[in-house]
Amino acid sequence: MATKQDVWQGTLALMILKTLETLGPQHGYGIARRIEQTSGNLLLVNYGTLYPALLKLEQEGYIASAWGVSDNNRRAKYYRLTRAGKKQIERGAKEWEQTTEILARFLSPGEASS
Amino acid sequence: MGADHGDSRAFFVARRGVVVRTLRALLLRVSGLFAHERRDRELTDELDTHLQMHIDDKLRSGMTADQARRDALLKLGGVELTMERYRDRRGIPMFEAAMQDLRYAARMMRKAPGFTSVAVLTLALGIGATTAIFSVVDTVVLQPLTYRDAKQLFVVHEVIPTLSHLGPYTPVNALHFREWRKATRSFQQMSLLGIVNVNLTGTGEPERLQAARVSSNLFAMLGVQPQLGRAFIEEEDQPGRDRVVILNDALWRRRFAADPQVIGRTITLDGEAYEVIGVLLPGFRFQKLSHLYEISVADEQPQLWKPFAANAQELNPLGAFNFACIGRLKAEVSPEQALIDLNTVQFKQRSRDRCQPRLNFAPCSCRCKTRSPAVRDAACSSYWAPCASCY
Repeated sequence: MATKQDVWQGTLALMILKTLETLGPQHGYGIARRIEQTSGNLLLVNYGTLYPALLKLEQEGYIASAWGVSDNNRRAKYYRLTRAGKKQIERGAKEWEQTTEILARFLSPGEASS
Repeated sequence: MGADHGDSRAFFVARRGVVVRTLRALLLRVSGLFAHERRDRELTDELDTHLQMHIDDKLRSGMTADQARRDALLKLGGVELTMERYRDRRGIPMFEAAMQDLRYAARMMRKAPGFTSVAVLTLALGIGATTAIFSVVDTVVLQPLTYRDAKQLFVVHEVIPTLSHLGPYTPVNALHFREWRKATRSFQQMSLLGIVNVNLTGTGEPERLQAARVSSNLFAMLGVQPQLGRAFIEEEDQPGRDRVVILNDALWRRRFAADPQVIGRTITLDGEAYEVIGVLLPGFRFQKLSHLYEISVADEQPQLWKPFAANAQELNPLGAFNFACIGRLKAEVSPEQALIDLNTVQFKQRSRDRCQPRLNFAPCSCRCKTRSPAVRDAACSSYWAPCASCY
């Protein structure tokens, strides 16, 4: 079994935003579970990384939060995507694609020799 | 790098967005410095919910309550550590730490008032002395007046014993100046300067500016060339022909948008048309006016320069004593010799004046009161050569 990876801060933000886009308003626990699941349980999101990241996104205005009640009647803080957040997803995705593409060029054996 | 050019504008817009976001986050973090407790409570609640949800899930998958709880705590990491990280993100840790240190320092200082007052005094004296020394060094070394052979430049004052209660020296009379210039042999050149305020109108907002009336040779004497146009010529130093003006660099940039075409343009000063003939260099700084006038007038730099063009009223021994005289000594002449030379001319003049009885406005004993020959003025590397004159 592969060891679980901690998430980089920069990519975590994008994952959170994307998760909120897919699931709609969601609480911290839901976000964490979803990220873990989507990663095929390769990523481990503990709250020491998650909540500061959520706070940062909220401060930057990409997400907004409000207290609500969960399915099994627990008081939880729900996060939702803002308009700026939606734009940020596009931008982040593009940047990420570019980065991976560049890196892929370095790593593919054919390109490296030319 | 691989991005096509069409993207570059979008990129800048995006960057601007990021800056705005960062600023917004910073503002919120500043506000995060307050209301700690409420925010801490909210976070504890949130983490608690998270923990509970996790335990609920594990219970559903068949763990016992104890196992579920243990698993949750292990997996999620310590609550305190999370709180710590969250707080760091919420506020500005460096600032908070600095505030704590400051409060601590203030408490300690209150505890030891003796030590505190000595320390504060020491700092005050130290800062004061440093500032004083710097301001001298600044004027003497860092921003010296960029005149050619500044050591040869002198300021001439008059001494009127009966008016000595107004101050040791008096500004210069235009007629006296004319005689000095004509008859003394110690100076290469002499120049007269008067300060006037003028209203600049016609281009944009009207503005009151400090201007200087100067003898046509002033800039040549100082060894200063205009960056545009020319300096005054001698015939412009006569009333009627003096409607020309030279601008300071700063004024030229501010009011005329640094337009080189300004040369030859007509501007309106006090309702009269003047032709702009020159613009001074940006580095040109004039002697502090209070160093030139014994009776200190405005301390700003003149922004406009026009020819002196003394009128008949001013060319009168009873006319205004209101001008500054600057002279460039000949290389071989000492300030003391120059002073004697000036006073000889002054005395001849005075005896001539005496033929006109109405000039005796100050019936004093005509003893000439000479002051110490020359006082070195550190700030401008020139000497103040007081010229004794009696009435």
